[in-house]
Parts: sequence; structure tokens; C-alpha cells
Amino acid sequence: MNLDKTNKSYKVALIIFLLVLLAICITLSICIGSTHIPLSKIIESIKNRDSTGNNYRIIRYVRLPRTFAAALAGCAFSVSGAIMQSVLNNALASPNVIGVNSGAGLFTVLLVAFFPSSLHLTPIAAFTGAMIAVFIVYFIAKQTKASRMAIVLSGVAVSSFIGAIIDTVLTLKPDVAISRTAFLIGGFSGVTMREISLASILILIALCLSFILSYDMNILALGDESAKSLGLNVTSIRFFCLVLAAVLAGSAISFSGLLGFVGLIIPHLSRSLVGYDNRILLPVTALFGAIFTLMSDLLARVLFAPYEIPVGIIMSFLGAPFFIYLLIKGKRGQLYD
Amino acid sequence: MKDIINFAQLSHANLSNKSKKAISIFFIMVLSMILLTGCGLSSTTEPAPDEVSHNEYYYSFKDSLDNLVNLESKPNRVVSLVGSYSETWVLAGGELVGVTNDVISERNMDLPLETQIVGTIKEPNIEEIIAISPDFVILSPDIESHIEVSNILKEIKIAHAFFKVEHFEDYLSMLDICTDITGFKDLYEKNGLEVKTRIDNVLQNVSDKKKPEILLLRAFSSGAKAKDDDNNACRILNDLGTVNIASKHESLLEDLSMEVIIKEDPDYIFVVTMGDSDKALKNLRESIEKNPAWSELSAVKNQRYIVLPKELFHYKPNARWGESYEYIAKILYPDEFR
Amino acid sequence: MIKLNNINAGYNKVTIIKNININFEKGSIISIIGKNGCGKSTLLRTASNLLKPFSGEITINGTNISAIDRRELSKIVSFLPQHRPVPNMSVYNLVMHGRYPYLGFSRTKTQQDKDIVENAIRSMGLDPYRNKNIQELSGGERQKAYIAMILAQDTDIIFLDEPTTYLDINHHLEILEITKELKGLGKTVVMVLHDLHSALAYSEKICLMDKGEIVMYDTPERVFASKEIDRIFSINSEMVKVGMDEKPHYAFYC
Repeated sequence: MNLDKTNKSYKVALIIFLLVLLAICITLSICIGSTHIPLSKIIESIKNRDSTGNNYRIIRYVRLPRTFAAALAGCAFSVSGAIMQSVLNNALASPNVIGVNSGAGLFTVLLVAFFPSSLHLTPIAAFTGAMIAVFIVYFIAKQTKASRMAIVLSGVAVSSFIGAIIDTVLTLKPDVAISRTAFLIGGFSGVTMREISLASILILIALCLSFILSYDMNILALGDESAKSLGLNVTSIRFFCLVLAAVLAGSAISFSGLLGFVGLIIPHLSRSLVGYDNRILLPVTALFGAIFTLMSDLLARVLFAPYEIPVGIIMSFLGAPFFIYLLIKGKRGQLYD
Repeated sequence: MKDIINFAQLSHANLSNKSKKAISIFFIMVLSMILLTGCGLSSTTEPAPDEVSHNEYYYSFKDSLDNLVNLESKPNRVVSLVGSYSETWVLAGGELVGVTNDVISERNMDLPLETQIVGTIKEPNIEEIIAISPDFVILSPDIESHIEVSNILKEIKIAHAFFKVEHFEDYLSMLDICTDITGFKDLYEKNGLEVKTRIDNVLQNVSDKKKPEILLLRAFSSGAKAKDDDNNACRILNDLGTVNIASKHESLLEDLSMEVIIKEDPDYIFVVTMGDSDKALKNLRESIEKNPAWSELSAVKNQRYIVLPKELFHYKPNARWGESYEYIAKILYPDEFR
Repeated sequence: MIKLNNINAGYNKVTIIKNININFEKGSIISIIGKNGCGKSTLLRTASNLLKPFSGEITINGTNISAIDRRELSKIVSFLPQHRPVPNMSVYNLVMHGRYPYLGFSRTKTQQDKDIVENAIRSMGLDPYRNKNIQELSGGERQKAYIAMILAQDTDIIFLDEPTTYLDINHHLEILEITKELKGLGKTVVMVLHDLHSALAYSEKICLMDKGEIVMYDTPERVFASKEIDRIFSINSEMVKVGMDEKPHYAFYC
């Protein structure tokens, strides 16, 4: 099995397979929706681009942005989780661990509670909150050498604290609770290309940078001292990778809300197929993440049509059993023994 | 001091070229993030550029979110995403091609067969809305999914407007706009101004001597809350010269305290139910009413504990608003009102 | 070759080692011995630039170590820690990571890189295990894999922190023999050893430490003869000659 994973042609075949699967998912996502549009009509409207035709409008303004958003968010969350798990040597690391989710949640709640007329700023609030939380977590951890464990513990502490602040705000201003639920569960309905344009640029840049740094992340796996003696600037690389992970998750949260599990489970799934070499792991994780999110979103739309289940719920249903499987298999919390 | 300089030199020298590159990339990213955010912010707050202004528009008005709505021609394929607004539109003489399911479940409106249901008031289905080719969509600013729908409508350039109706004057101004659009100003007379007259008549007869103290509870299946000014039933009660004990004790709005209620001992207690009325009332019976002190309240002892009908006090009564005023007036001042 | 002047160093503002003045000469094997907690590992870490000293200066061939670029330094100095995580990778990839300081931005491995890695694997006898996952190797084989990585890093100075602890006697001796080969290649090997016999048998110079300071830095014979080891460890010692060629062997007893 080990030999299989490192075999070059196996890797190439897997990537091609995943790309094909992704293309299929994208096609399905565009073709299937709550209104039935036969395939012939879809092809016709794409060819004619008649902006007054309803089919074209539905495809262009409803399904296409949604498809794009789901694929992008899937990539971003799962690569974010992969980076964190690798760099923190922690199998349970996910965007939640370093405070990204709580920070985004807090700033969104604050915005809705105190500036209800500026709701269009929600994406920016979410992103800003995510980044600030990460810096606070890292800063606290830095007070004790910023080791992997320190960062994880700091993240847990900060997340709890922020959670308490959020609950306080909600208690004092109960009307906020309604908008909060929708955002927290997460979903892609109603996204427009405009909303995701800024975030997608950030995500693409961050993805490229993380692929570039994937080799260095491999060196980090050797342990801080060995990595340092090989000439790697361990603290800087670790910090920068965490920032990349935060940017990825924060940008995705800004248009999709808090989708937890993708960042946790997809990296593990990818690892079981291609091993721990980040150079192949990160791209494969990105593809898997996109595919999983697209399929979940499709199910969310289709299972109880015309009613839509929030996609976060579908993901949790699919992700929880895998999570339990992880626990039983006994990863002991550490990525490396 | 020397140590600090040494330390700074040491740290700088220790940065390899690679990490210097990494850090500079990082700073460039942060900078571009800030710039892009600034651009994004400014573009979202700038008003959308006006097209070459035609005074050719059929009708223009400002909606409740202060958006300027321009209708190029009289709309004849109208979708309303709120049941109460659907009713208002019909009262204004308009027709609907798309509605949300609460027109049936809450209002029992009688609509032609062709009218499509495009989802629920909380979760309207954007694809269905687009599929029926609307030329005007009515939405509410209080529902998050409506805001999302409006973003997409904006991109497709389908005219849409937000309305916020809590009290009678909101309904009146909405009816005014709607009848301007449909052209049936006589319906504004009938369903608007005449209702206003009816209400004014009621208010004129309100006696000055009494100022009954009241408490309004909104009950739902998992609890009950005291309500104050921003609720339309409370406004009616206010207009009729009552004093809401919740306005004297703001804490009552958050936390229904039996102590405060006993201390104030209001003359009347009104209940409006939300959601499943039976469940809500059952919940009330099993919580507040179980309290032995409850039966000692004068409102309860003297049969002045009243459950108000949903259609007149929870759902917006629209053209029946006059009836709502009369309903309560009869209870409060039985002598003055037959 | 690598010189420490008036070094004081420690962790969290607590000084562990003080007044360290020592010169590790080129092409020699130096063993650092002493009781637990006397600062051996701290000295090793400080000398290899993993730990910043509180005061003092470290020079390599006259140049201050802090003036040397991180990457260039990693071509000169390598360090094998006593404890480290065991990543999930093949032996070959692990050894190839030793070439990290030499790889350009694109990380392409030159023929030279590949040759050096091959040599390292072969000289450690790891050829049959080259594609095996290091998590599946025994302790001894794993240690040899790490040493192969150090070999591939091809540095002038090699610091080893307790390289033979927990190893079977055969692997223990194998590794010590390898340090002799390294010396033969002109490298400087500085290692912390727990085992006094091996330290005295294999080194050019012994650095004996106690309570954070260097007590003695001299040839094994002279260090032994001074009986400082006996004093510090509260034991007795004797030198016996073994084997046909009467090699000195050191025995310690209560």
C-alpha cells in the first residue's frame, strides 16, 4: 500500500480522476435545481446568452454563482484544515482550532446587533473577525514560544472566550439570534458573483502560496529542531502557513458562513489515499473538498425539493460518522507518532 | 541600549533571504487585502449609477430601505413574498402571479389557480421566482432570505421593493403607493382612507378619565413575552388611552417576572398567540397560569384576561384595521361603544 | 573550527551553562559527558545555533555565527536531536530532506543531490529499506536513517545528542564506528554521550561538564588520569588493557 501511494503514475491517475469527477459535479450542480430545466434548454441558453430568458437567468445568476461558491469554499476550507493539521501536528486541527470560526462569528454578531443597517458589510466583518482572532491566538501562544501545543491550547481558550462574548451579546439583544442561526449553519443560497469576487481572489492567491510552501511544510514534519538545523525558519514558516490557513478559511466564511467539517475530514480522507507529502496532499485535498461540498450542496437542494436543507447540516450528517471512525481507529490526536 | 541594537541586528541578520521574501509577500498580501476591501466597501456604499434619467418611468418611489424604485411600465406580473403584502396588493386592485404559502396557511386568500406558490415566507425559492418572469417583486427587509433574493434580482435587473408594515400608517402609505401603481385610487379610498376614518371615530370617543393599565403578552409554543410599543397590538392599545406596564418596567420585556406583574396588577391582560395557537395557549396554561398568584390578579378574577384573535392582532389586519380598534375599544369601554 | 567564547546560555531566563570557553577542532571527535542536568544538551544546542546564548560569542573559523545566513549555516552545521517526532515518509525521502539546504526554489534534485543521498543510504546499510516507511523500522534502523540524513546534509560540523541511547549494543557500536569514518572525511563530530566507555574509547577530546561549567577539556587519557570523573560521579575507575593489541578499556565501579 505504501508503494502504491508514492508511485508517480498512481498520483497522476488520481488527480486526473478527481478533475473529471469535479467536472461532473460542476455540471450536475448547474443542471439540477429546484426548477426543472431540461439539458437541451440548458445548452441552448448557454449558447444564446439571452439575458431576458428565464433559463439563462437562472443558470447565470442563481446556479453558476452557487456552484462556483461551493467549489471554492470546499477547496478553501479543506486546504485550510490540511495546512493546520500538518503545521500543528494535530489530527483534529481545523479552521475552528485557531479561532477563525469564532472570530468570524463574533464580528458578524456584533455587526448585526449594533449596525443592523449595514448588513451588506457582513462578509467583510466575518473576514476581519477571522483574521483578528488568529492574530490574537498566535500572539498569546507566542508568549510561550509558539509551540504547536501552545497554539492549539491558545486557540481553544480564545474560542471559548469569544463564544462567551457572542452569547452575552445574544442575551442582551435577542433579535440578533435569528440572523445568527442562518449564518452559523452556513449555506450557498443567494450568493452572487459580486459577493465572492474579492474572496475568490484571496483564496486563489492563498492556494497558490500554500502549494509553493508545501515542501517546506514537509520539512516541518521532521520536528522543530531538525527543521531548524536544516535551515528552515521554523517560526516564520509556521506563522505564515497559519496566516494562509486563516485567509483561506476567513475568505470562505465571508460568503458561506461557518461550514465546519470540511476542513476536518477531507484532509484525513486525502491522506489515506496519497500519504503525507504535502506537495500532492494539498492539491488532492483541494479537489476532494470542492467535490464534497458541491455534492453536499446538491443534496441540500434536491433531497426535499422545493424546500432546501442548509448545506452545513448535510455535511455534518456525512462528516460525523467519519469522525467517529477516526476516533475508533485511534489516531491519538497526533498526526505523527 | 547596545543590547537592543545588537538584538535587532541579530534578528535581522538571522532572517534568511527566503523568509524575507515570505514576509514581504505577506505584507503585500495584507496591503492588497486592505486596498481591495476599501474598494469593495466604497463600491457597495456608492449608490448605483443612475441610468440616463428618463422622466419616462411609469412610476418611481422610495421603498422602506430608502432604495429608489423605478418602474418602467405598469407591472402586470407581480410576485409578493409576504402574505400580508399579497393581501395589500390585492386590496389595491392588483393581481399576483406568485405568492408565498402563508397566503393560504395564514390568510386563506382566494387566489386564481394560475397563481404560483414560490416557497415559504422565510425561504422563498429564487429559481421559482425567476421562472415565472416577474416584472415586480415585493419583499420584506426583516427577513434575511429576502435580502439575498434582492441581491440576485438586482443583478438580473428585475424591479423590486421592500416594504415594512408594523402599524396602520405603514399600511396606509404602502396602500397609497400600491394604488398609485395599479391606478385604482378609489381602492385607496375604500380600503385605506375609510378605514382611517373608522379608526379616528373610535379614537374620538375614547374617554379621558380612565387610563386602564394593561399588559400584553405574546405567547408561542415555548414561552411568552411581554410586548411594548413596537408591536402593532400595543400601538392600538396605546392609542386607546391605556398604559402598558411594560413601558414602566423595561425588564419585563426580557424577563416575564411574576413579581412585577403582581405589583402592578394591571386592569387588563391581553394575549396574542404566534404559531400554533393551541400549543401556545397550552404552554401559557402550564407555565404562568399555574402560578397560584396568577389567579389572584384582578384582571384574572374579573374576567379581564383576554385572548385576542390572530387575524386582527397578530397578522397585519390591513383593511380590517378599523375592526381591530373597535374590538379592543368595546372591551375597554363597553359603555361608550354600544 | 568552532569556538565558544564566554558563553552563558539557558531557557526562560534561567542560566544553565556558564563561562563556556571551548574550541572544537576540525577533523576530531569530541564527546561531552557529565551527570544528568549538567547542561550537555544545552551546550550542544547553543553551539549549533539552535539556542541563543544570553551572552558571549560563537565563531566558526573566525566568523561570528550570527553573521552567517541561516541557509549557509545549515550547510556547515547539522544537529541530530535526541527526541523528535517520527514523520510518515520513506527512508529515501527522509535522507533526501538532508539536501534541503542545497535545493533551489523549484526544489529539483540535481544528480549530485541524488548521488549523495545514494551514498548516504548505502554507507548506513539501508539499501534494502530505502522505500520503507520509517515508522515501520526498528529503533536502530530508524536512527541509522536519521544519521543517513545528516550525512546527506554533508556539513563540516555534526552535533549528535545522545545518538546511541536505547539502541542495541550492535547498533550502538555501528554508529560509533561511523563517527570514526566521518572524522576520516575531515568532519568535526561533537556528541553528547551517556556511556562513559564509548566516550573515552572513541574521542580525541573529552569535554567533562559539571553544574553547567566545563570542568575539563582534554584527551581521554588525561581526563581519566585526573580522576575528575570519579569525583563528579562518586565512583571508582580503572583502566585495563584488552585484546591482542592491548587497547585501553575503561571500567567504572562503585
